[in-house]
Amino acid sequence: MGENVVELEAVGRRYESDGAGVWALRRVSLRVRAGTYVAVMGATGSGKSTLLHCAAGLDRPTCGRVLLAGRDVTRLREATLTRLRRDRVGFVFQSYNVLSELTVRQNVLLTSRLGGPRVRAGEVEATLTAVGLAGTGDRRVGALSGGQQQRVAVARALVTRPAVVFADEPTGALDPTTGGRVLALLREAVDREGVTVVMVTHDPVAARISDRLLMLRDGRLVSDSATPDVATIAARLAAVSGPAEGAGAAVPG
Amino acid sequence: MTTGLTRQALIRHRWAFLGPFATQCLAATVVTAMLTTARSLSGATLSPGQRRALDVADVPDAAAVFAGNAIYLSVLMVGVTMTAAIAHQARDIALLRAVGATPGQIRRSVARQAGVIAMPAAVLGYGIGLCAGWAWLTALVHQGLVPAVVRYAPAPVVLPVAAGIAVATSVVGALVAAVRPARVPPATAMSESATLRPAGGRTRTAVGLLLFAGGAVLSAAVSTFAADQADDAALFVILAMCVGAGLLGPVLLSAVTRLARPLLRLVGDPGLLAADGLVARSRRMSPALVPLVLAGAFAGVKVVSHTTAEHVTGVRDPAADLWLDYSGTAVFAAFALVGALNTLLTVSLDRERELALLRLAGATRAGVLAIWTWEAVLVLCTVLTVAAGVALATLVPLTRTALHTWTPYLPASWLATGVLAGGVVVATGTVLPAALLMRRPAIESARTSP
Repeated sequence: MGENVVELEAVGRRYESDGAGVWALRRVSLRVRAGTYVAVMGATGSGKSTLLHCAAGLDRPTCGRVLLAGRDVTRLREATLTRLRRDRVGFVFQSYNVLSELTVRQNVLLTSRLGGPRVRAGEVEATLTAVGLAGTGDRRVGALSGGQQQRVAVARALVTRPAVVFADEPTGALDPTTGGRVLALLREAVDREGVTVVMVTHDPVAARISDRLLMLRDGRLVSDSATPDVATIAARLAAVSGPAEGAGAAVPG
Repeated sequence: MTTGLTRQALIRHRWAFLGPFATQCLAATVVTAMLTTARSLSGATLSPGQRRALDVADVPDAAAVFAGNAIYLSVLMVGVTMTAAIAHQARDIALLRAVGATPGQIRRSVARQAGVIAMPAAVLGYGIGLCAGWAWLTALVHQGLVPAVVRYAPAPVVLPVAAGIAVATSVVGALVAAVRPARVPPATAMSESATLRPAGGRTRTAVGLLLFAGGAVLSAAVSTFAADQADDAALFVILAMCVGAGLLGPVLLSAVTRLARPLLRLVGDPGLLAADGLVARSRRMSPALVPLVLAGAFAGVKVVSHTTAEHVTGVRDPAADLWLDYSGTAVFAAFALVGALNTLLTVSLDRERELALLRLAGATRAGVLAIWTWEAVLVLCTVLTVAAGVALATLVPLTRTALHTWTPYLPASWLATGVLAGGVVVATGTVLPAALLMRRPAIESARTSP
């Protein structure tokens, strides 16, 4: 315990569109210790999803360095990076998390079948039981409810025993009760298995379950602390969501 | 190792595979018709004189050329139609890339999808091909190109050949189509599938311009060639310029739309809405340009070279020769038609929600159809302009070498027929599906379509 699973050093990400560039992320540095649950918050367009994508090796930063499970992902070839993701990382997105025409079991085994870590049949059943989907392995995912589909995604992310799970608004499309169950599953994985979770959310109640809270504004990390109570989270989020003071379009040097 | 993307794609997006299926079916039809005809010719008991007459009329050669054309056109068109089919799977591909699929695994899955649908397409195409082969041979006899003693012999051995060709061409076309979608970073794929990409792309535009320029230089060089060499080189001029037009597609569509804007202002809001929409959608529409321009330019070159020759020399080609030449053009045009209609229909069907929103925002059915009609007019204008440009660039050196004239000749009625045919194709791919989609209540479309 205690090593850093994710490290960002002065990471910037610039998007080009129609000749005009926008810095979605500006010189963000960050270290995430193994076995912690980190929540990332900020207003729409603050760069929180970009931060997650860069940290997870889904997108390549324009400048800076990203270390994922000890490896510099900014220098890896695409195929090597893909293998690193499939061996050490799990993902839960807000939507489009599952292949609707396949069964629950096929979805959970997806990463493994793509060449990732071997998963025994017993482990699939155990994981499905843990997420409350015992006995549904042969059902078509498209026939399940949104909350159940999201739990299939959590099972898929956890079954390969990854070092870190990245979750992008995992409860964004769910009602509070169903969403609460999904968050509790991630929390359990941190507490029992020592998994690291990095979760983007805009819901203070969802963020409350984390150990550490990061706030982003205009692509900069503006706050980094132990997770406070819901009211304080909401107040901080409101503070960083207000109109930016000073020039917000400066380019990092 | 099967991961399920193939299965997911073939079930979830089954309608998206109609384009590749139709292309493969058409290829198998042409290959079957030509191979069975060639076998019937070689298997017939003919006198040496009849055999020589057959060779002089180029019938066996023509059959081989048509089959060859069908093979390379099907690679091209499977590529175009699979691109549209893959676009539907952007979300699934992004998810798989995120959870650990390498670009190679995605490409193999796409190739497998094309291969799987190629089999039934080939079988169906073989069946249609037997009928087409019989009809073609009968027509050849009727035109006096083949002696009446030749009997059509359907050969079962052609089925595995046609199936093999269909699978091979599909896999090649699909692999090419999958290169870009398989390579994009998954995060980009996730966001890209939600938003429209703007026109252009510097590399794409540069390569497009280079191909256009290359075609023009070659065309200038052709005017100094001997007549028979010039004919062969002309095909490369057409191909280079058509692929160039495809790469420049978004830029060309935007350019024509911007030029037409002052005129559209006279029409009022429907015209302007159509112009804005087309500029935003130029990249998605542009795959329809390649086949339409290819068909227009190719048919134009074929027809105009005959009409110009007749106009200048006053001598008409023998009807049988013309007929053989135009059969080849028809094969070409049929492929182009499948490719163009597929792209147009795919784009149109994806816009069901947009149609519904326009109506919920207060537009009448007639109002929405007016917008779509103006869009279709703009697409047609772009196609006609580019096709005419490519055809002229190819033709002028040819007529210069063979007939010593700089001005190709086409009767107005032929030109009108060509424009009308283009208009029918574009309208069938755009205005017709819009009219059909709007028969559903708007609120239902808005709720159910993605």
